[in-house]
Amino acid sequence: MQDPRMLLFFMTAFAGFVMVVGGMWLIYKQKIYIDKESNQPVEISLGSWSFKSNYPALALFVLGFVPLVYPFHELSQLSEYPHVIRLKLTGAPPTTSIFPATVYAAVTRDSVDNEGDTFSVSVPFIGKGDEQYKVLLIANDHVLDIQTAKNTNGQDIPITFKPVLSPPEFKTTSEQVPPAYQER
Amino acid sequence: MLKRIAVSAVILCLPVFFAHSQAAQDFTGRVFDAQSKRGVENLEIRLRPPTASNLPTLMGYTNQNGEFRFSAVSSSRYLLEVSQGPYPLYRHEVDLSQTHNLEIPIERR
Repeated sequence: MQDPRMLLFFMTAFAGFVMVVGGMWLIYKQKIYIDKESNQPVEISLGSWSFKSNYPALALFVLGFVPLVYPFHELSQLSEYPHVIRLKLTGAPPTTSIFPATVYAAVTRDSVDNEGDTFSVSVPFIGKGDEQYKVLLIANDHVLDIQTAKNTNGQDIPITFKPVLSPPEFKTTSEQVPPAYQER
Repeated sequence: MLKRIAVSAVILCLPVFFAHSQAAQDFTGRVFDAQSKRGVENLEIRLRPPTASNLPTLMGYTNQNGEFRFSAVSSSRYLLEVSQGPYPLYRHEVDLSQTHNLEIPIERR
C-alpha cells in the first residue's frame, strides 16, 4: 500500500458496507418480528415524537451509504492532501562571538536580476494555516530586510521591503560566481 | 627485493604527499583605491571554497591600511570576494597553493 491513509479509507468504506448490509438485515428481521397483537411493526412514542421499530434500521441502511461512497470520492483527490512529515534540523553554528545567531531553513526562493523585476515565491500553509513566514531579502549573502507574512484570507500576500541601501562608494563587479561555487 | 622496497617507499610517501597538498598556509592581501593607492578599510573579505568541498567559508575584514590576513588556510582553490556591505566589489578565483599574497585595486564610482 503506497499511502497509509488509504487503509483509513478502506476501513471507512468497510464500516459503511457493514451499516448498509446490517440495515438490510435488520429491516428483513423486523418483517418477521412484528407485534403479535396488532400484526404491525412495534411503534415507540417519545412525547410528540414517535417512530416505528424499523425506522432506525432504515436510517442505518441510508446513512451507511455515506461512509461507503465517501472514500471512493476522496481517493481520487488524495494527492491534494500532501503527507506531511515533520523532522528537526539540528546542529551548532561554527565558532562565532556573535550571539544570538539565527538559523533559517527554506526550500523555495526567487531571484530578482534586474531593476523593476518582481518576485513570486509559492509557499504552503499547512493545517490551520496560521503559521507566520519570515521573508528575508538577501543580497550578496547579506540580509537587507526581514518581513513577516501570514495567511489572512487565502489570497496572495504582498510583501513590501523597506528601501535600505545607499549607493556604494566603489564600482561593483560584474564578475559572476563560477558554477563550481554556486549554491545548489 | 628492490621492487618491494620501491613499492613500500611509495606507499610510505603517499601520506606525506597528501599532507603537503592539503597543507595549511597564511594568505594575505591588500585592497586599495586604484587612484590614490590608499588602502580601504572595513571591506568584507570572503574566501569561499567550491560547493563540492567540505572546507569552511572564511570571512575577514580589511584593517585601516586595507590589509587582510587569513591564517592556516588550506592550500586549495577558493573564490575570493571583496564586498562593501551587500555590494560585491571584486570576485576572482584564487589557487592558494600558488598564491600567498594578493594586491586588489578597486575603483571609485
